[in-house]
Amino acid sequence: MSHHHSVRPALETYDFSPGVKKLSLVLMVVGAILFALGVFTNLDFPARIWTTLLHNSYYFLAIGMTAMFYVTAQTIGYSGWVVLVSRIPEAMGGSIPVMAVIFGLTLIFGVEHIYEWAKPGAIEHDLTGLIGKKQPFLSKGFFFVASAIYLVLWVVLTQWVRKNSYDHDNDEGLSRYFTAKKLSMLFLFVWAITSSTAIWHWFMSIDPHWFSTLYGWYTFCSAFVAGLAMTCLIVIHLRSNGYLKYITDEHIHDLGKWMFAFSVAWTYLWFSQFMLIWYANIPEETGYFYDRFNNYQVLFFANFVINFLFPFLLLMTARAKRNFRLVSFVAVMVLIGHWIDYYLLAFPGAIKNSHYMTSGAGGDHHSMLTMAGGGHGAGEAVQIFNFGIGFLEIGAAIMFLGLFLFLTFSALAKHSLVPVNHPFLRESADHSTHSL
Amino acid sequence: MSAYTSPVREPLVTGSKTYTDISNDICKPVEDRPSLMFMIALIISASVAVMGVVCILYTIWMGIGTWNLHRTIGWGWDITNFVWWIGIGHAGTLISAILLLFRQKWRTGVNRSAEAMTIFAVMCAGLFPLIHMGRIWDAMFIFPYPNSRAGDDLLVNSLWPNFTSPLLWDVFAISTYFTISILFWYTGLVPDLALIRDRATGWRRKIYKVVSFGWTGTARQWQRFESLSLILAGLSTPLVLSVHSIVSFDFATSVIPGWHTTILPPYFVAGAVFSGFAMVLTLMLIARSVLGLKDYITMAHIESMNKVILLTGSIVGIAYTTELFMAWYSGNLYEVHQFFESRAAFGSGPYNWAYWMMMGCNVISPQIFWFKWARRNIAITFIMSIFINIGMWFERFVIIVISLSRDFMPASWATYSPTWVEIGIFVGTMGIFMTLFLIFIKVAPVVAIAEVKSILKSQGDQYLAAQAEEDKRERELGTGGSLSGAFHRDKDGI
Repeated sequence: MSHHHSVRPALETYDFSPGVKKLSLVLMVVGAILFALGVFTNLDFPARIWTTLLHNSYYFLAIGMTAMFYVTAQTIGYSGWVVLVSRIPEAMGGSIPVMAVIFGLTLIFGVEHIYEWAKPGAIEHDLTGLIGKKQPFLSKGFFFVASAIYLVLWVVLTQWVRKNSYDHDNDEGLSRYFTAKKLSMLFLFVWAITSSTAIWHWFMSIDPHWFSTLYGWYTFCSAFVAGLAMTCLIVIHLRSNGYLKYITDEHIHDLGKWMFAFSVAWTYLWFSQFMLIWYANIPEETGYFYDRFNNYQVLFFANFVINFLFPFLLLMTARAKRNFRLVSFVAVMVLIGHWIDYYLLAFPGAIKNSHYMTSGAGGDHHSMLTMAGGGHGAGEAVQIFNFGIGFLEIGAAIMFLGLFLFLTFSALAKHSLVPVNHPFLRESADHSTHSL
Repeated sequence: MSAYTSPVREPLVTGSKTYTDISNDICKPVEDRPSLMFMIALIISASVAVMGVVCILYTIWMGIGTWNLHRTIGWGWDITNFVWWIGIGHAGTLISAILLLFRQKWRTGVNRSAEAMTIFAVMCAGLFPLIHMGRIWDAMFIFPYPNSRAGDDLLVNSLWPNFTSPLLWDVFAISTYFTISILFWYTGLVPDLALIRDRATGWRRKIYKVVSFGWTGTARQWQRFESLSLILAGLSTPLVLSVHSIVSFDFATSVIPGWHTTILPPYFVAGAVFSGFAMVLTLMLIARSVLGLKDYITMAHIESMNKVILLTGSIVGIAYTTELFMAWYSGNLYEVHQFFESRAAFGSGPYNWAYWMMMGCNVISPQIFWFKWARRNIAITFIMSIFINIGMWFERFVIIVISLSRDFMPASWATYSPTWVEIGIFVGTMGIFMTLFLIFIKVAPVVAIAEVKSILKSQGDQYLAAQAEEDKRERELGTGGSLSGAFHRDKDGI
């Protein structure tokens, strides 16, 4: 326990350490080279390139967004212990504007490559007639207007929450604290609705015939675990490099609990969605999992093992959650794991769509036939779908990770690491997981 | 123990209580003679319970034909009531397990009574599937044990339950839930029962001596107590999610439009917590006033519970609208029909009113709790809690009865209304619930005494006021911001 410290948490500044700066730049450059290599070898396969950009830009955007979700939910929940940690997720939120722009540009230029419903003549080609029935939701106009609204709201609200928090450092009163509560409420309200509606458009509509009511909450939970893992990693990095010395293993223990709990929650949602669709066995719904289960089998199981078994078994005990190395290891694993989860949300559908539109005569039937694994498409399907993960995907992931770290640590260096005037700061510094 | 608590927080024990005050105040209802009002309430509740038992016996004697179920609507009030009662139990488990993990200290004011409600509600819930079996004497068939029901060879030919049926999963889920809840509740009660024992005389002392298991409050006993509580809290946490998720599987594993929807498990859990908190508020708003516990169940407690209600009510609201959207988005004729014509679109089905009862009570009206004045208004809170109890009953009615009433074949469409027997059983379970609850407040402390004492030094109003003074003094001395002294205070030994 943190008794008898001779000093109290004061304004603490972080200098963007040359090591981290170099690392983030190297990641960006190496990633960009690999990505460029991937682009070069996939010029005839634009769907893969655009889906890679969609996948990675959204994944890192969502990590920033869920970090802000974490901060605002803690504000609403009167959380005291988290105050010393809170500047890290707030800094992660600093990456949101840039990521949102990249993501928005990906939507604008990639829309026809990623989404079957956005391709010219999609409605006429769709023998099921479902895309036609889903108008205007699956039309470019609706899609872009809605996307713009979501992204603008997300950027404005998250940056507003951040600004208010940083302004509090120069203001000893409580007014910023109460403003933080109001802003958090507003952000959470908007996020509760738009995190679902946005992901329906951006990811679920890649498989335009499929639907699942749980999709929004499931994808949110996936990104949330990733956001928590990234928070853990950055907090442990700073703590290990001499910053934030009031953060003890008590705080890491609590962060570990969050990662553990929401990994289990993710598994619960994964299981609920999968089991109910498997059990009811309605062809319209099972097609989604049939494709992933058969054509992406390794990733399908890796998703479950990495995101459930790793955190569940490794972080089960209290001692494990206080072990910085173990927590870091699990955090890295689940960051990879949920990247795979988002890959599986986007790629199977997008690749099938590209095949469906380019396969020429007879291709009109493909999206239905290959979904059921029957017809003459089955043999081709394996060949086309089973490309796995290559330079392109890995390069993009490294590139975006570098960018994310660069933006986050830049934001971190701009403000105090300690929210010195927060009314719960002393509770956070006194924090013990055993205290009542 | 008493770590620093920011004076920004609202006190959770008011009236400058000492430890002795806490013991006296909370033991008082148990130690006083029952009041006339209490006896009247008990007699009414018990009479209603007896009426319910009569209806149950009548059903068992005559058969399920005494209900209005038919081929189209095979689940009606029975299963609606079952899910409603199970849901009500969830507040207790959430408060005792999840809020413990989240270190929400206001839980100590209401956990005891909420856990008691969990147990009584599960008891009421469990009655319905049993009675609905028709042949209740065959109830043991649901348990998988080696038997000779189907032949001579014990293990090969015997009849086993259908392990792929969610109805069987329910048996395990609910019996586990009931067992863990009752253990958790009773474990917490032991120190408080010992306190009553120590204050009692005569035959009461003898009884409390037996039920408090020889508790003397030694360090070793507390150490065992804390370990056991932690294990039970750990076991309860997944149960908060699993029980109602498995109840939702009863519906969602099917292919019936309105039942088969993937959001059902988490949405059922949120709805259960929502309805549970409503029931806790309904009863505790009365209890805190009648039993004189306003210093222990303060406006801060009520406001916190209203926030949970706003949150969970909005979550179910998002789930309802997600279902509506997906029904449209699916392009599936039957889904569209179920969610719009049978449910939401006024004037297109016989049960549209029930859907809007649900929407109005569960989603629209709780939005008033965005306002602080409403969250801290007893009358509004009480009325809202009743609304939500009604709305959540209608939610289950909507899901079960409306979905069944219009399935794939228009020729089999039908409507349903309960008989007096079905209504009698439902009202009877309320009598059973109230009777058990009234007995509980008379024999056990309705607020967890030991737990409230554990937060007194950090959350009591006099201590928080002193802390505010100290912080202010240090600010004036210019030792820097509201933080000064964060690490100078010697807390050891407190």
